[in-house]
Amino acid sequence: MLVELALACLAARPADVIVVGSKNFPESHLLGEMLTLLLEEHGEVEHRSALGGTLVCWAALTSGEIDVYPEYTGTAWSVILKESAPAGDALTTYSLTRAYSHARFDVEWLAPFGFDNSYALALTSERARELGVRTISDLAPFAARLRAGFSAEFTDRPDGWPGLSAAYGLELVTVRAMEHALAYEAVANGTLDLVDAYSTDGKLVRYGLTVLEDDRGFFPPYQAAPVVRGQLLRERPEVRATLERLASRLDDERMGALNFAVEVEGRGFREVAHEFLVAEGLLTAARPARRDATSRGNSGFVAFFARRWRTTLGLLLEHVRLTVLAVGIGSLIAIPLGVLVARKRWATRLSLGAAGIVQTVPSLALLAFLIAVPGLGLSVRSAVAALTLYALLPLLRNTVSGLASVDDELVDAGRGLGLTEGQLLRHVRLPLATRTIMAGVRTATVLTIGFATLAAFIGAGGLGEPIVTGLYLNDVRLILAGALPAAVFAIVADFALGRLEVALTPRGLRTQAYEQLDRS
Amino acid sequence: MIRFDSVSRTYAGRTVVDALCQVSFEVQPGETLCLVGASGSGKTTALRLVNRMVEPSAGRVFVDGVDVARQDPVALRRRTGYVVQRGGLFPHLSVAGNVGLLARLDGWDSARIASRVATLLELVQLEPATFRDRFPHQLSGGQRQRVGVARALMLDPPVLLMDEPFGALDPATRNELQAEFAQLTRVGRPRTTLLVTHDLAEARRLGDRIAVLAAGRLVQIGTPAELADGPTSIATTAFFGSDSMEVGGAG
Repeated sequence: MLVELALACLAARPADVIVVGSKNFPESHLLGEMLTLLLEEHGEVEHRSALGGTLVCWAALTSGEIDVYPEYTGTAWSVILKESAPAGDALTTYSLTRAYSHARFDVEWLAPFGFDNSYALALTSERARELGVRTISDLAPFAARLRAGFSAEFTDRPDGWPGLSAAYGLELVTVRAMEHALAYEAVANGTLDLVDAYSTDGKLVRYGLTVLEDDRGFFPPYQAAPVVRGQLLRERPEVRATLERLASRLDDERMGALNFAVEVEGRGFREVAHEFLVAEGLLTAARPARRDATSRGNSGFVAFFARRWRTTLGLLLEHVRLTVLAVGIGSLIAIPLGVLVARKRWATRLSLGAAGIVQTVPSLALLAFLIAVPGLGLSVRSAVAALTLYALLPLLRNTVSGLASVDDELVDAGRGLGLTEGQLLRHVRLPLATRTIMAGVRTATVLTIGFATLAAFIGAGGLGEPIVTGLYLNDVRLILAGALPAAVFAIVADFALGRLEVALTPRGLRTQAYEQLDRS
Repeated sequence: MIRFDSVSRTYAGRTVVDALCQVSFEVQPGETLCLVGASGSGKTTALRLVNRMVEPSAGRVFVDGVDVARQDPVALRRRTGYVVQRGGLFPHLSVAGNVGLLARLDGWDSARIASRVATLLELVQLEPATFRDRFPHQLSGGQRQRVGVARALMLDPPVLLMDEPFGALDPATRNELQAEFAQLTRVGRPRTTLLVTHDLAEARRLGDRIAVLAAGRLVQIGTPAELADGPTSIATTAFFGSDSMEVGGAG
């Protein structure tokens, strides 16, 4: 089975398959499905959905891991091209973004879909009437008592809250960064007043929200369009014409209605995309949509889970594989390294410091970096590499401290008896450090099971997939379908490794080990 | 058998404590020499120079007429049994595992190991059937020390180095082990023994000769009778004056 795993990991992406990407929110997923459906007339197409945001998508595109994905001009302008000054109106922004992307990244912007999914601030219609606010400027008198919940990306981005706050001179007292779908929920039930929103968001209707007018024109235009690798267009020029059939087909209202269908009505992405393309005459109705795994319906949790158990089992196995590979490889690196560095104080400090720094790298940034590394890409390999890096610290730290905790008197006695350094390590130091090292493996495993959900950000599978999708669709059943099995896996793994820890502890030390285990 | 030839050992940063200055003496084959001194007098350093746990800064140490600096440290240590205070037993190994460890590493077959372990446990007054499979935490202090001695004798070394072997024991147990000392260390063959202690009464009782160390210098060496007759230096006088019992801690 290990050989099989290794082979599966090494398999490169087939050259003639076109790979479509999309970000982890419903609109991007829907547009990705449309691109996929259209491209299917040219052969096999793969859709990697729910990728972890702009950085991951762009890194995947420029390293050739995906060929095309839907992007927004304003986002590319500030996040990818890192331009701080606004470009201007919609057309100027589009033209400049297209020119810069072509020149710097060999990425081509095709004709826009037609809608402008701008950032916006929203509150419930009720509250808007109560306060008498219509524009963002109107918020100023209420700055002290408005409670805002913004998505993490919005709180960070220059074209988000920092810029908006400066442009309007608006200082809110309470601003929380939180998961977007949850912020909507909180506004609807009155816990929060203000959220960031996308103007085409299907949930605006669902929660009865009013969008405030951007009366100072702060938000740049966010026209959506397919971005394609230049290489693909040169190899397969027919792709351009196919994708540009979508040009100007979607205005804000229609996009909002399609988003509503998947987000609120719980219909499948592929089904909704297919229906739209047929209605527009871009596809013939004859081509049936494949079975749609994202169609959720509105059944209760038990029925929902019963229907998905096979999928869940598959995801769980992927999750187990990610965890086992990451902790296994991590142990093979960290334990010998720990033995090696434990002799020298400076080497111990250096290696622990390095492993500690890796921990502080945000997961999305690490993933964006790893998928651009040749040979890793948008695959299980990148996910395993990231998880392995995160597992190094507990493994290394416990190996070092396990060896350091061995009584100097015993090491001295062993050396004085005539044991070589190798024999000392094998017969004295390692056996006495086993418990601590195994405790490190246990910690690393439980941490990795939690971390492994981030594999979903690069489409590497695992139980993170339903969690991420559930979060952006605000579907508790989906979130639980990922979170519950992951929690059970963590508990089972923790218990099993606890037992293994005792079994591996040398007999003379075990009485104490059992006592401690029973107490904990 | 063991010869110190003008040996000095200095420690960077620490001027006096544990250092050794121009020390010369000899231990005859089969003889027991007790190194006596207060804490920090350099007696443990002297002991550890013999099996190269410490290297001299100047001078030479000979074992079997060969400079230890020219002997492989591991081979040297296998021929010099080492007993430390509190036994230094490995807590993850049984009594038999501790005693037989060196033989196991040398590739003895298990039957030979088992029979040698049984012989040694009997020698140190521990019933093999009862104690063989116990672990160190199930033993009393005196029993641990007995196992420590048995472990040091496993490969039948011609030289035995003992660092405060009875220092951590209660007076009754210490007395008992001191009484059995000759039997413990000389069985099978006369063993050249170097024993470090801060207890002059112990040195008198166990040593064929006694070497007194003070502040890293050898101040007197002789049989217990010679030392009692005429202390020849102020340091010895001071040592004898406070007499016998504890002068400082372990060292």
